[in-house]
This record gives sequence, structure tokens and C-alpha cells, in this order.
Amino acid sequence: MAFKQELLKNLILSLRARTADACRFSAMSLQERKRAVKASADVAMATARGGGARWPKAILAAAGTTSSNQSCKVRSSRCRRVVRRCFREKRRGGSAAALAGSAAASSVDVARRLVRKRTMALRKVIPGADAVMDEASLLREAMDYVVHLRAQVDVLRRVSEAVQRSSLLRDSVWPQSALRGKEDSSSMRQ
Amino acid sequence: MNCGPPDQMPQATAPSCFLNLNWDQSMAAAGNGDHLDPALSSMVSSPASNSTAAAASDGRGLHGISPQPQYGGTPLSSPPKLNLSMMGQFHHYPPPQVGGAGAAGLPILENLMPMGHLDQFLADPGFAERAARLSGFDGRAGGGGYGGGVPGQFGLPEAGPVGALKELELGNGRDESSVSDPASASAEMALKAPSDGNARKRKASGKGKGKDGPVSTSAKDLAKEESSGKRCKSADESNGAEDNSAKAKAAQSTSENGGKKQGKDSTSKPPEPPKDYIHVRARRGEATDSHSLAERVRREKISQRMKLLQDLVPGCNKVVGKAVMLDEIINYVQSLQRQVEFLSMKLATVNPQLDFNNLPNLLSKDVRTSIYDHITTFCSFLLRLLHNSSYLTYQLCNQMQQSCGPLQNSHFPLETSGAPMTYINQPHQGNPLGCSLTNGMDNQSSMHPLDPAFCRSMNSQHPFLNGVSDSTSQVGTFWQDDLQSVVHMDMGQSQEMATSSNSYNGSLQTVHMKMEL
Repeated sequence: MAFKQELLKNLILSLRARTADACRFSAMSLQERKRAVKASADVAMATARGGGARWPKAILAAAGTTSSNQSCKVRSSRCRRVVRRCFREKRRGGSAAALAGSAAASSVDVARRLVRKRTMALRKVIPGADAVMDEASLLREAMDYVVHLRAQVDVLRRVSEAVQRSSLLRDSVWPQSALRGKEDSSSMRQ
Repeated sequence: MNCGPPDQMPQATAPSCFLNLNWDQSMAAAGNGDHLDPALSSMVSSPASNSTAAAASDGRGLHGISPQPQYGGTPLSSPPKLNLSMMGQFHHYPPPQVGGAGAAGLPILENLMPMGHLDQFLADPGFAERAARLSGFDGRAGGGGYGGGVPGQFGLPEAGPVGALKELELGNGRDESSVSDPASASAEMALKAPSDGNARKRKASGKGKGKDGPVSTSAKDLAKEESSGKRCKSADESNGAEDNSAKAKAAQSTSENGGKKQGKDSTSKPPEPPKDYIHVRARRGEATDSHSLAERVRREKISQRMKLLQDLVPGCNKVVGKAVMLDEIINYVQSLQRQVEFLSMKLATVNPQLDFNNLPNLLSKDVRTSIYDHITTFCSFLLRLLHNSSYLTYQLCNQMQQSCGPLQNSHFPLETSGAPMTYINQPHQGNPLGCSLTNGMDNQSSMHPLDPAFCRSMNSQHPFLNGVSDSTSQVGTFWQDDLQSVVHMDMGQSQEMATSSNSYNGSLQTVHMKMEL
């Protein structure tokens, strides 16, 4: 819960910082806005997480050095590549196992190969896990990242729902309030 | 890793100093053989039962998961409570199986691992390290409990087959040597019990003794536990040092299987560099080769973490095999990332101007839960904090906390708190905000006076942490109790939210403790 608060606060702060220049942001396309929101959400999550894991640093580094657009694109394309690679490996792994016969050793090797491929895929999915880590710490990073990602999704969902509902309400209410305002001003003038 | 040099690990951070206190005490007590395993088993069980068990058995209980009474306290009592909770956070679940209160520090970390507990420990940087420590399988238990080193101490006859089953589950893609031998499997199960995060099975099997995991890394301050041969150490340190030291250092393993293997002193590498090493108990029938021991250590650590991940990722309980499990994890992470993208797209769509000035108001108006109401007030309060002096707002927070007992949607504490601080000096800021929060209707005027100042303060410093950390940390600590009570009152929300909220709350509290220290 505290993490979610922290995340929300950071999200608001980052979005404000990004939208400080109002004219620039009104001119952004939807994709750009989406990317801005996502980048700020990621950075908010990373900063809210603190220094206990590797992935926040990777996110912040990516956001700092390269443009946020690139990192998001790169990440999403990487995800797709990873999924494709996993499927390919699975198919290949299955065929290799069939070809290799029923020898126990070869199946173990195939299994090991699959695991290795998937470990590499996991490294690509989790930010900052590419380089150094052994499998145990990779799994820990994965756990950490999953938990905080879930929190981020939750916070974003709530925020978007709140904004959506309030905008709907505002649209329905504004005409009336505008009318009321006009009446008041007119009555006051009289 | 993050914690600096391995040998400083135990004293690295303030939270960990608490941990170490507990740790040393527990190591000193060391009388119980229960420790980690029951802690783990209780940990993995449902949070409710865990919390009740924890709270019942020990006044402290687990910080994040403990039920309401822990956090309903007033702010005046919050500091001691924070202390307690932080200690309690490290306190292990008094396991139902094990009578002892046993010490606590580290096992709790492992307690935090699975499911929602995972959130708790993960949210805190210190916790992650500690949890890693625990997951390394900490010998606290090992140290203390093994005075006799009797294999039967760990061996649970009923746990044997279950252990073998579990071993087989994860052993598909792994080296079969550890699974092939049924006798060693049972011993392995017993020894692995603490490292096994899946306590459900253990509970089904009836217990979880032998918490002494096969993997234990030594910590310098625990060197006194030398006799039993199991040490506990941060897996973080070991992560860095393990790969170097594990292979070289498995030589330090001692086997105490009924004294049968005592002759096999594999400390054949006397000139060992003075770094933290891993004490591994060679099991009966297992090779005592340093390489195989290190390999076993590594494997068990990995399997343990895989189990935790299994609990974390939904729908993975039936999955057997490392590859499939990894596949599921990857898919889950990717799906979460896609969700983030989708939600950010939605936010960008709904709010074309990316105008989030009114966000707190929107949240307060819209969301029914009192938790979110508090988030709203929290956010709006934070916005004020950012351009008010931190000290003044700190005091104001105090007052707010005291007046913010009842959590009502329409009640904004600023209006009623007698704070003689900036808010009275700036009533034009206070009232509109309060009104907006109560009405929820006028979105426009309330936040605007704050915006220019806010933006200025934002632009003047790094938007994230510099200006905010001090004040908000203080705010945070005081908000924790209140929010925690809110959380508990609203337990009917999603289970995940409750558990994660508890966990995050607890961990943030400890982080704040650290900062305030």
C-alpha cells in the first residue's frame, strides 16, 4: 500500500513535470502522450521502489539516457521478439527431443537447453537483468519486478478509471454549472 | 550488489541492523530447531492465517500482515509501534508446529516471500536483501539447531515421500542425482524443508522440521555457530561472493550425519581467502566434492526461488518443470507490461491535456474506497508539502494524524485541525482544497493556487525524490498507522490489495524508520 502511494505520488509528480509546458503537450499525438504517461509511470515505479533491486536503476538509466520513446519501443519490440523466440525454441526443442530418441541424457540436455533459453528470455523482459546475474538473483529480480509491476498496473488502472469517470461527470455537469454561473453573475450584476 | 561489500552486509543498513540484532539473539538462543521451516510453512499459508498465527503467538506479529490492532494506534504510539513492527517484520511466524518463539529475524524474511508476503519484503530494499538472505537459507536455524546434527532430526518420515515428490517436481530439468536416491531424497527433503517455500505441502505433510537448509552461508558475526556447520548469510552477499566462494568454499562443508561423515573433512583448502563462505552440509550418500556441493547449493536456491515465483504468478501451481514455469513467468511479466501500456494509452486518451492537477480531487470524488480517499488526501497534502517548509508540514501532519481518526469521505483534516501552521497562514489554499475534497465537484479552482508554486518547486529540483523525501518520509510514517487501519477496515477489497497494501505499508514503515534514524 505504501508503495502504491509512493508510486501514485511519483506518477503525479512526473506527469506534472512533463505537462509543465502546456502548449507542448497539447500538441502531442496520442502515441506520444501514451509514451509519456508510460514512461512517467515506469519512472515513478522505479523511484518508488528505491534501491533494493536492479531493475529500478535500469529503468531510470534508460529513461535518463535515451529518450523515453525509444526505450518503450525497444522494450515492446523486445517483448515480441522474446515471445517469438520462446515459441521457436519450444518447437525446436520438441523436435530435437523427438529426433534424439528416448535417451534420458538427451532429454535432460534438451530440458536444460530450454531452461537456458527461457532464462535468457526472462533476462530480456526484466529491465536491468541482462548482464551479470546468476539464475538465483535473476529469479529474485523477477519476483521483485512482478510484484511492483502489479502494483503499478493497479495504480494506473485506478487513476485511469477515476479520470475517466470524472471527465464523464464533468461533461454532464458542466453545462449546468455554466448556466448556473451565468445566472449568478447576471443576478449579481442586477 | 546494492549492499556494498559482503562483509559489511550484516550491518549495512539500519533496518538490517535491527535484523542483525534479532539474528544474533536468535542465533544465540539457537536452541530451537524450528526456526525457518515452520516460519516458512506459516508464511506460505494464507495471509490471514499467517497474520493470526503471528499476532496470536507473538505480540508483534508480522508487520505488513498483522491485523488491525497493530496499526490502529495513535501517532504518539506510532514510533514505538514502528519499532516493534519493524522488529516484528523480521520476526518469524511462530509456527504452529514449533512451540518456540525462536528468534526471529531472518526467517521472517522468508516469511515475506510468498504471495502477498512477497510484496512486503520486496517493497523494501532492505527486505529484499534479507529475504535473499533467508532464501539462501539461513542458518540461523542451522547454527542453533544442529548441535546434535542427527539426521533423524530432520528426517520426517511422512515428509519423505512428499519431499521426494517436491524434489521431483522441480527436478525435471535438473540434475537427477539429487532425486534418484530415495533415502537421500528424504534426507534432502528434510534438509530442504526450510528452503522449500511451498509450505502448503509441508503442512500437509504434517510438519516442517529440519529447517536447516542445505544452503547456508556464513556471516561473520555468526561465526560462533560454527559447531553445527550451518551458517546464515545474506544471499546478496553470497550472490556476489557465492560464485567465487561457493566453489572454492564448499570445502568448508561439514557433515554431521550422525557422525558418520565426520571423518570426511572436506576442508582441504585451508588457505581460504577471508571472505564469506558457505557452509554446506553434505548429505548422506551425496558427493562431498566441493563442486557438487556448490552446485547443490545453487540448485536449491534456485528451486526455492522458483517455488516462490510459482506462488506469485497466478495459475502456476500445477505447473511442473522449470522451463514451463519460466515460460509462465515470462508471459506474466509481458502481460503486465502490456497492461501498463494499455492503461497508459487509456490515460492519455481520457485526459488529452495530461492535466493531472485535479487528480486528487478526481480520485476522492470517484473512488468509493476509503483507502483511495486517503491516497487522495495524501496526494493533495503532498502537493502542499512540496512548496511548504517541510518542518511545518511535518507538524501539521502530526495534527492531521490525530484528527484524522475517522475515515470519512467528506472530512478533510485540514479544516478541523487546529494547526497553527502554514495552513492557517494560507487559508486560501486550505479551504479550496478541503472544499474540493468534500464536494468533489469544483475541480478547477482548488489546485490552481498551488500549481505555479508546485511547478516551480518541481522544476527547481529533481521531480522525484530530493524535495519530497524528507518531508514525505515523515508524513509517511505518520500516515502509515492511519492508512493501515483504513486498509484493515477495508479488507473486503481485493485480497491482493489488502495483502500488498499491508506489505508495502510495513516495508515503507521500516524504510522510514531507517530514514529517520
